[in-house]
Order: sequence, then structure tokens, then C-alpha cells
Amino acid sequence: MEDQNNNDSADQGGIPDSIHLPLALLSIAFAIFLFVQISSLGQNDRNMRWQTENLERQVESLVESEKNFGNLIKQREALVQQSQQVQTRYTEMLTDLINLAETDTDARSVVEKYKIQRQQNQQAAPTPLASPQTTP
Amino acid sequence: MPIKLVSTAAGSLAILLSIWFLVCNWSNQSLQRGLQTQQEEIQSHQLTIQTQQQQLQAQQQLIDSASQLANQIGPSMIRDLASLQIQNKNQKIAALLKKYGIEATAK
Repeated sequence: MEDQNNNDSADQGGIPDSIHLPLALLSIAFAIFLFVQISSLGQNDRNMRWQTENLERQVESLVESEKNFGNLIKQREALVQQSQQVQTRYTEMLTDLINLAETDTDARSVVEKYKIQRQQNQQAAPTPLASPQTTP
Repeated sequence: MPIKLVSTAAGSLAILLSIWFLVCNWSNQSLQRGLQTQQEEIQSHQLTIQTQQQQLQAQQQLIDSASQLANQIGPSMIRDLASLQIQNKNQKIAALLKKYGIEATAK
């Protein structure tokens, strides 16, 4: 009798009744699977939004630091220029002193006392290697 | 008849959830791309800050060495030169000091 009904449905061009139960079970299982996946994606979504907020704060802080460092570098430029002038002036003087030390014993004693040497790479950029014990 | 209804409803639900899943997935990928962009931006900022720190360090070294030269070694060496010039009446050292605007006189 049931076979008769199934055959009737199939004959009418529809899906046989017997296939509805497995189809329903399969659909429900697939729907559950999708629901779990969507929940997991939702959790991921929340995590990523939280990360985005944190990263935004981090970017803000880094931009602020960058700005501060830039200002600090600018503020020091005058001092750096002054320091460079001092170094250049002393370098010139020490070069002259080294040249003088080749012929003058007093100059040589000072060069030896302060261990003034020409730098290897530069011909005329002497540096005192150590500060000597100064006597008052 | 009810089993047909359940089957149709479950199928429709599965289709709707599939669409929802695709939308969520697309949104997730979009967020992930945003995160990647932000991370790249952070790396770029960090690199800039690192360069600035190195620049500051170089500035500090230059300032320190000039300060040491100008406040400790320089004056001490000039004092020695001046004292040698006066003691030994060394004209060459006197000329050297004069060239740099220093004139040594005996007290």
C-alpha cells in the first residue's frame, strides 16, 4: 500500500515520501554544523574587533611617541650643532698641536701626556684617548 | 505530510544558514585584512621610532664627547700648554694658542 503511494508521488513528478526523512535529517545535521561554524565565526569576529581596538590604541601611542621623538631631535639640533663646532675647533687645534709636536718637545710632552693620536681613517682628526691625572 | 514540512523547513534553514555563514566569513576575512594593514602600519611606526632612537643616541654621543672635550680634557690641556709656554717661554706654543684666541699670561 505504501509502495503504491510512493509510486504515486513519483509518478506525479514529486519526491517520493521515503526520501523526506533522510533529507530532513541531513538538512538538520547540516544546519547544526553551520550554526556551530557561524558561532565560531562570531567569536572570531568579536576577538578581531577587540584586537583592532587594541591595535588602534597602539598606533595612536606610537604616533605620539614618534611625534615626541621628532620634537626632541629638533630641540637638540642647536646643541648638536654647537657640539659639532666645539669638536671641529678642538680637532683643528689638536691637529696643529700634533704637527707642532714633530719639532717641539713641549708640544710633544703634551701630546704624549694626553695620548693624542691621529685617527686611522682620517688624516687630521686627532682625539685625546684618555684624560690624564691633572695636577692642581 | 508533516515529514515533508520538516524536510522543507530544515532544507530552507540550511540554505539560510549557508548564506549567513558566507556573509560572516566574508566579514571575518575583511576584518582580518584590516588587522593585517594595522599590523603593517605598526611595524612601519616602530621602524621609524627605532631610527629616531638611533638618531637620538648618535646626537647624545656627539654631545657627550664634545662636552667632555670642552669641559674636562680641553681646558686641562690648554692649561698645560699655557703653563709650558710661560715656563719655557715657548713661542711656538704661544703662537698656537694665539691662533685659537688664547693668551697665556703669568700671574
